[in-house]
Amino acid sequence: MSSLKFCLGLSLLVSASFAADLAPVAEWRLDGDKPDIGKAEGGVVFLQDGPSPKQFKNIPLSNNAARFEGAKGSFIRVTDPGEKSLFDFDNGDSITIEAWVNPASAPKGGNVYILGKGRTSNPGQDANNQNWGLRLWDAGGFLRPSFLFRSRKDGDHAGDWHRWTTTGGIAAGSGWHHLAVTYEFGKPETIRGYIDGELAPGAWDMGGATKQAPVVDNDEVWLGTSMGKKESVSFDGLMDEVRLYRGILPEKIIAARYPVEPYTPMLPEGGLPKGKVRVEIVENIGKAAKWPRQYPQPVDVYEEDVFGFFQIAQKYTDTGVRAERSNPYLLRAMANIALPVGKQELLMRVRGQGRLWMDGKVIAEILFGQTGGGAHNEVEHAEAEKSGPALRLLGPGDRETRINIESDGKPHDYVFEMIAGNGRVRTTLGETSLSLRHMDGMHTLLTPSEKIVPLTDEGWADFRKERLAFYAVHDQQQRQSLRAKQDAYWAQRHEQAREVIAQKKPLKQASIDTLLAASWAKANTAGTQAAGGIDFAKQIKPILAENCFRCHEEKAKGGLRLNTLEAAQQGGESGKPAIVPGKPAESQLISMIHPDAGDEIMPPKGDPLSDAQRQLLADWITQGASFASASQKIEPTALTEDLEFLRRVTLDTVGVVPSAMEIDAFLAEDSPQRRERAVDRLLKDPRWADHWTAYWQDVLAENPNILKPSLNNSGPFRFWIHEALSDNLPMDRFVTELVRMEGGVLAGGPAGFSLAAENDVPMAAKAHILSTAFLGQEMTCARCHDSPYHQSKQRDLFEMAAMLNRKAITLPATSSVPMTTFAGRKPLIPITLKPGEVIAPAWPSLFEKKLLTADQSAAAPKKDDSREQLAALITSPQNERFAQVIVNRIWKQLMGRGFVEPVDDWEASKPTHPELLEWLAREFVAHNYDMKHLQSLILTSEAYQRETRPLQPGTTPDFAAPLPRRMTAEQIVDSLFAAVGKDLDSEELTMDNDGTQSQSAMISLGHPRRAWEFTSLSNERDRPSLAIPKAQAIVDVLENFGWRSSRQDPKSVRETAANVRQPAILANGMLGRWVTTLSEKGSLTALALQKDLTADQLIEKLFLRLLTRRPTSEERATFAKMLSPGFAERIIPEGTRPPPIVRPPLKYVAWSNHLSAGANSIKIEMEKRAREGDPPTTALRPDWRERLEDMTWAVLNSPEFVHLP
Amino acid sequence: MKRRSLLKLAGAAGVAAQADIALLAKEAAHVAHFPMGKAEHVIHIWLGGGAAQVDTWDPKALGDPKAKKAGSYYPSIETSVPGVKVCEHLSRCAKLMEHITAMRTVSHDVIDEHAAASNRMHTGRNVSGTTVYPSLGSMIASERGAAAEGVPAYVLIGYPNFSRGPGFLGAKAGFLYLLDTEAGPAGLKRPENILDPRQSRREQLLGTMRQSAKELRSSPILNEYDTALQESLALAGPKFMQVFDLKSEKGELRQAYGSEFGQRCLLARRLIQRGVRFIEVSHNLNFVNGTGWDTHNQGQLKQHVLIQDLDQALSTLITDLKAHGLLDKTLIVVNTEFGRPSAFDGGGGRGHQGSAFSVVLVGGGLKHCGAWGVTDDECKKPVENPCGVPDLFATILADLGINPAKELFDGDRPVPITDRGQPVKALFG
Repeated sequence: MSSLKFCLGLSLLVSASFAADLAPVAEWRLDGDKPDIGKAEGGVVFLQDGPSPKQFKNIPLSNNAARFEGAKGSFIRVTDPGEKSLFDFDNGDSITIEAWVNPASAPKGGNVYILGKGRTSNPGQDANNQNWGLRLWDAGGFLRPSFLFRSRKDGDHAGDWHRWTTTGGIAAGSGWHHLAVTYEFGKPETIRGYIDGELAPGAWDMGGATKQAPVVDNDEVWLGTSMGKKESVSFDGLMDEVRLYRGILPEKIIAARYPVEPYTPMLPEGGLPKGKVRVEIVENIGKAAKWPRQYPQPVDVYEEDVFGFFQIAQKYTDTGVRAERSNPYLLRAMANIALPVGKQELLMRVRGQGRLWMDGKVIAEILFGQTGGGAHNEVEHAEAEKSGPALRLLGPGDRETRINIESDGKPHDYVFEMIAGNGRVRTTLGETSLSLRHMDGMHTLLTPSEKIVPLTDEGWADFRKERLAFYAVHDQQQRQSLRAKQDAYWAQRHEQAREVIAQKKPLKQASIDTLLAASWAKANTAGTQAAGGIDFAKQIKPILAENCFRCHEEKAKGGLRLNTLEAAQQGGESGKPAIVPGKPAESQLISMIHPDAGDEIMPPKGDPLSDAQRQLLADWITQGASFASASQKIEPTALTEDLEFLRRVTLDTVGVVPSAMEIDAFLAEDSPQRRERAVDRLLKDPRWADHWTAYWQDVLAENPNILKPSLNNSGPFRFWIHEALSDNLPMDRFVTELVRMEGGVLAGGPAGFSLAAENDVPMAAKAHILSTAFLGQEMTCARCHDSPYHQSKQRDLFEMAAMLNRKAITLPATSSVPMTTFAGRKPLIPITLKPGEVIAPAWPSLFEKKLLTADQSAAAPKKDDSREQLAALITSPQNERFAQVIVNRIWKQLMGRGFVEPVDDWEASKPTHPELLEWLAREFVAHNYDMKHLQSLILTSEAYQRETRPLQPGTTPDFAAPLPRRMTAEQIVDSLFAAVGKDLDSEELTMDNDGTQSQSAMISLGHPRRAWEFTSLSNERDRPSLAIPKAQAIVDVLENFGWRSSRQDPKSVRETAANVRQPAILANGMLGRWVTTLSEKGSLTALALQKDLTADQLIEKLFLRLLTRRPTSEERATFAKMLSPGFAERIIPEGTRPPPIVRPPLKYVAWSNHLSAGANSIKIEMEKRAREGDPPTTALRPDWRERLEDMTWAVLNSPEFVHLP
Repeated sequence: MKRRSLLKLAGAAGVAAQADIALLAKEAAHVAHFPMGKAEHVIHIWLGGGAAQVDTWDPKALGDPKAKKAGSYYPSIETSVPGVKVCEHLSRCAKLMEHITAMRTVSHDVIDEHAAASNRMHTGRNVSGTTVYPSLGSMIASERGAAAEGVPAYVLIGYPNFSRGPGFLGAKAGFLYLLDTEAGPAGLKRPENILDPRQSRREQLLGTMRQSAKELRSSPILNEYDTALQESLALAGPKFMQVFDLKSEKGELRQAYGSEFGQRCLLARRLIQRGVRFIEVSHNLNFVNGTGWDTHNQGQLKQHVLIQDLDQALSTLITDLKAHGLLDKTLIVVNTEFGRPSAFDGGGGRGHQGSAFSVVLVGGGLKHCGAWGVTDDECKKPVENPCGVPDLFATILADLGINPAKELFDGDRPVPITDRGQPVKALFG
């Protein structure tokens, strides 16, 4: 402080000529245990490690730094000496502020202070008196240096903020950085900012540039915070060497502040793993597309076998949901490899910017290409320089170089580095690889192991498949170890849930079958008692079903239901009973169907009831109007045959028909428990997640787009759904993760659920989804007004939406009905909220009344987070509705009908089997909301395993038989491929296959393996060059069978009605052609090529594979007649087979070049090739092969194939 | 008020974006009387990308991209309707203008997004979070069905996308599509390697399988599927499929129709003769100008090639329909997602503009007047007879004899077929 006072009298006109010798007017070296100047408050921690001399050559060895804790608002306070002090800067004064910073974290969207004068919120000081300040602004985890001052009032000028911010920045947690800013007040063009010694471009943003003079007063200088020490403006992390100058520090000097040497990669202590490639993923390496200047430390390390990369380990949040990698990130792969002695040639292929080090020296480098923006780039020839047989063509957007090495035969360290993404384009890997050319011209991927992966089409395809399996396991382990950290919490939640159940009135020891049997016995007794002259089921019910039930069975139009006597006696809104037993004249039903009813006549459409029908109804009422029936005794159907059961249960669990191996294993098991064992095995099968993901995509309106989010698009949170199901996440935990909406929006995390593009209130859309999905409460109408048909009010929906929003929502006019609509009359639609009204987060009163009150929940949510509260309330064991809704949904999926219908709207109907529903729900809760346990209960019951029987229209389901069901669209597509033993064949689901577009514009959903992975192909632009032909062929089938390419709204039950396009697309479409052609791939060709096989065996095996049953004798005869001629000679001997057809490679088309000449014709050729599919095998005689193909076609196109047995 | 009377009132109500209009309608004081036309079919030509009205149907004073002077890119010409001018590259249509009305004052507020605007101009609605609206083709297919037995109601010649789809009406209101006239419709056209003898063998074998299916697994849903299968075999048979055989038309006529787009228009006429109700024909085939109708930057330079292509095919379609006595019962709609500003962008092309653009109606028995509505000198805003998207849709539907206020049902929820659109009365005779 004394030195400072000493300087006060000096003139401070600093000229450029001696700027190099510019001395700071204040300096915080932060090397000691207290501040150099001023007073430390709020827990500044001294004697921390500063920038390391290993990294920065001019840093003294004993360099300490100070830690500032953002949450505590720790800072250093320096008093201003008074008028015209060295800290005061006015127009004409020049300023330089520099600092070393190592920020640990940044408050989201915050502006944290490094050093500033004024704006302290000190008593007696103007709140907006910023003379100058250097801050860091958080732009999504990226901290951008920012200079700020306030211009003072001057005549007409009221004073304003003036802020200049760099476009680049530093990532929190990425180590030490040097920052500086220089400026001459009054000359806005003089502003300069520096990051790590380099000039950083920036712009005056808030308030714009000004020549106005800044506010100058006697407020304090603060280091580390401002504005009363709010956390959002407090620096969190380490600081060192903070200096303030009066004058402009020259660029050269600032450049020298960050004296990094180019790094050489560090090998792990203890050396490289033997026979393995060590992979390191480094994030936050800066936004620019250039090699990082400091040696960056990896965030993920794992081992690979070879130098081939199309995917890296998935990143997860600390709760185990998918998160986004930084863009760009650095992939580093290293191994110790001995190449054979002599001249060797390596081939390096990269998507981003890559380089290869050998023993610490760079031996090859490929810099980022100059991809122009737009879509008019040239269509490039994808052909690689052919230097060997069958070398796989260079992938779209990939680049390659060859490296010649004179090998001494000894092991050397190879380190490969690649930057994926450049901050602008997506972080894609393409087909990044290092391969070695062999004498015969073959290339194999470079490896320290024995593994041989040829860089051929087939080699890469096999490698890909194998690595996908590896990453599935690797990622699952990562995820589960993260999730395990919360297991204790969930165990306690589940323990609480069991306690809640234990306190309820206990249910009898029961099972699905005993409870159903009891319900049948009761109904059958009632039926025998209800004789009388007229039979309800035979005579009355058909009349009601045909004329009344459309509106008065499950729906209660006008408040009236006619499905039970009680309901009919109660009547509807008129208040009069529809039926008065014994008194037809007093029964409203009779008067309403009379032709004299005029405008009110029922039914409102179609012909009125005949005289005979009306007479019958009147007689029935006279006789007492019994709803029971003597004729209709409930008789359960017989159990299905074993193979029928196997087909049904396999489709219901893993979504495909059983394979030949599964059938054989099942039949070979001669155990009375083989059905239970099959259920057990299938529930553990990883494909179970594939099957059920499709269901939740519909229910949760998962709706990603591969091209710019629009039309109510969400993120691709399908991947989170699939992973949650793969991990068999308990359902309450599943809902909690969904409601938290954490992770990466576009990376597949549940955060993707938060997005609803082009929607005025996304959270209202999400509240609607959650309420239908998990609470059985329909709220569609409540989006714009109180519901006329349901109890939901607009306020209910928006309160729930505000809970998801974590703050109040202002109702926009676009989610409302303007009162002008009603021209001054009383509206019939109840409107209780006005646009502009602010709705605070709250558990809706509708749910308070119907489900549970906000304080009833046994779960202990974080009180300050309304999303946590909402999740806890939905999943609370006190909220019985939640478990029952889930049970009802699963029951519906497996049995064909729910206890409550519709499954997403419980308001209109009561459960048909309340005891069974309650029992199942309690079982579900008592077993930790375990979906697989619930499904196991149902699948092992006799109720599920019976032969199907359709539900008679107008009857209440008795579940004495499951309902007949058609396969879902996904089951059909997946089963077609599975039945013929072919992999699903599709292009990558993206328009950016060369990785040149930004993530906000385009994403990739990867190469689909299963039907649920498809999405809209988004050719709204209607351009052939944007077509994705094979995917289109599959999407065509899916859509015809009720799958939605765009899921703008949630849907619990799909349309399954038959239409003419369904059988047509299977019979004549591309997919039908692919699966029925006996190409080289596929198990049917292999089957036909089996040597010791009779025609009859072939027919039987074919039927088992395609239909999971043996052929009937008639089928055997028909097909034997077809296949027998030439059967013995069907196989063409090897050596005499014609050569396979090879098609020349095509140039590639991506978004980046789809408007160029030639793009359309390439896609049209691709379409043609897709239509033709793989050529038929050359191993079978064409005439015989065609007969077997026709037979396969006939079996697959049978109506039997697409229906569950 | 009596319920049945209420239903008749639907559609005369106010201005809510997503409200349950049926209930609003109960507020209406008067029963609206809509004019009804006599069209039986629609050929919906889609100019994907956003056709520039100022360079086609709504010409203004010439502009100059180099001098950044806003205006038309091409000189305009007189037409057969006095006082109505069009771009010089529409010279053939200009002579037939008495059969044409360019609706020059169509507008919406979906600005810069092709997908959203395409959706708007196919469904007549903005995206809603609570329902998925059907396309015009699906609405008409669902309301009117096919005009003959055993043919589909809605055929699309272009890429399938969900803006063209049935929305809440469900799969039965969906389209049958084909990507080009040679390839035939996806799902009906047999793979080219399956010739007649093989197909009959296949169907014979399938017969055995269908018989087993009915014996082993009979259920109402399986039997319905079997019926659909029977229908599909018939539809894929020669009786319907010969409609795709354009070679049976006179070479002269085929030439007159011109390019592949023209051939699509010819196919559309054949489909109409066969009883198809609604055909969407996409005109985004060849990027002869680099961008199709999305004429940013250098896409502008060869825009006239597209316009001429449209002119040739459309004018031939009009005369051909007329020659077959079909013009009065076939409404041609030339639609697009938005227009383009008369000002030029940095690259000499044009950006997007939803505030005013042209949709063209032809034939359909309407009282045509060459052009309807007037835009300002910059072609930016309607100044006379504005025509909102709902009104455009109402006009089309009314011409098909469909009440523009009719309620469709999304489950329980009544959704009027247009968002309170009023047909343009002047077009009805």
